Amino acid sequence: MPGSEDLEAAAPLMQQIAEGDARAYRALVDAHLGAILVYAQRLLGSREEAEEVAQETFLRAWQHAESYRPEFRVSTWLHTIAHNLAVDRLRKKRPLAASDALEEVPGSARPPSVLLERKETVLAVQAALERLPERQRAALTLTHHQGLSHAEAALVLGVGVDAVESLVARARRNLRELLAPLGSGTKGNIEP
Amino acid sequence: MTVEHFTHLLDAHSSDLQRWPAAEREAATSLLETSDVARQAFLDAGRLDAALSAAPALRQGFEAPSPQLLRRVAEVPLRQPRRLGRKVWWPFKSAYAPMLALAAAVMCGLFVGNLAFPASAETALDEGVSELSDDELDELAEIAFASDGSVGLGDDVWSGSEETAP
Repeated sequence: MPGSEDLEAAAPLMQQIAEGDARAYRALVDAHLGAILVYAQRLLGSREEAEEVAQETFLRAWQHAESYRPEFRVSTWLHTIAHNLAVDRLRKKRPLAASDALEEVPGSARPPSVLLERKETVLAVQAALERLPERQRAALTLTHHQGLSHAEAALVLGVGVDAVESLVARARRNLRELLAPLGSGTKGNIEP
Repeated sequence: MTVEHFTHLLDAHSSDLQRWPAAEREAATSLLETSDVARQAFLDAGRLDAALSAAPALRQGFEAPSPQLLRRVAEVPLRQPRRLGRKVWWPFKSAYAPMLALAAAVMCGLFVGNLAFPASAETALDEGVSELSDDELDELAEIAFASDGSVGLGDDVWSGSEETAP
């Protein structure tokens, strides 16, 4: 879990990697590959592409370990690399405007309060998450799933803390709008 | 704390009060004890958080890294050994690329310079002078070389004195 990372232990580990210590690098991989892979997959929606991004992330970490700054957690640094790689791919794949467009979430006829406990509704939440605008999805994923603080997510996204709070708030409101019509069959308005 | 401010914080920080700014927690807790609207919003946010947390686990394909991926990532040091002591990251793969860039810049400068000052310009000037008659050339020489041997127009011309006036 990224939140459990020890800052004091991270700096020597990264120093060892910068000196070419393959064992230290392996420790880094063991501690963070899973989280980076999941984050990339949540952003890209493709397991295959997420694996490529994860591999490239650790290659860059190995090659540029000396650029790590010990005032940040290694997890934040790795998420930043992975985020930039994933966003590059998203922008090559489709224009920014298209990536911000929301598609319809699979609906259902049952009330949300009941459905939230059911597997299909949980899958609908995931589908809605994948349809959020790129930056909202990234901000929500970093703070909710990846365990980063708002300040750390701000570093990854290259924005201010206020902007992260705004992105997360809009993401949550959009998710509510997308999921609210599950019972009525109507679609709510989505904030960009 | 107003209900509106409470719901704003709820959207920005989730239903986990530990993630809220410390200065806001006590007021939020007090509001939850007194406001039905705030309580309902808090419960709704909690449901959304629970669904968000559960979603990835049920989504097909969110498994742990495969042994193949782990091996590929772990073998990076074997395939791409680090160059120790490297302090400056050089974006090019080798030195020939910047050398080519420098050569291209020099060639570009020469090309642009040639366009702005073509070699034929001097020739054109010479041709213009050769078309003057002998008298015109003498007149030109008088203007250019003063009788006292000084070159160009005398200072008096610029001072506007009567002695040099025609």
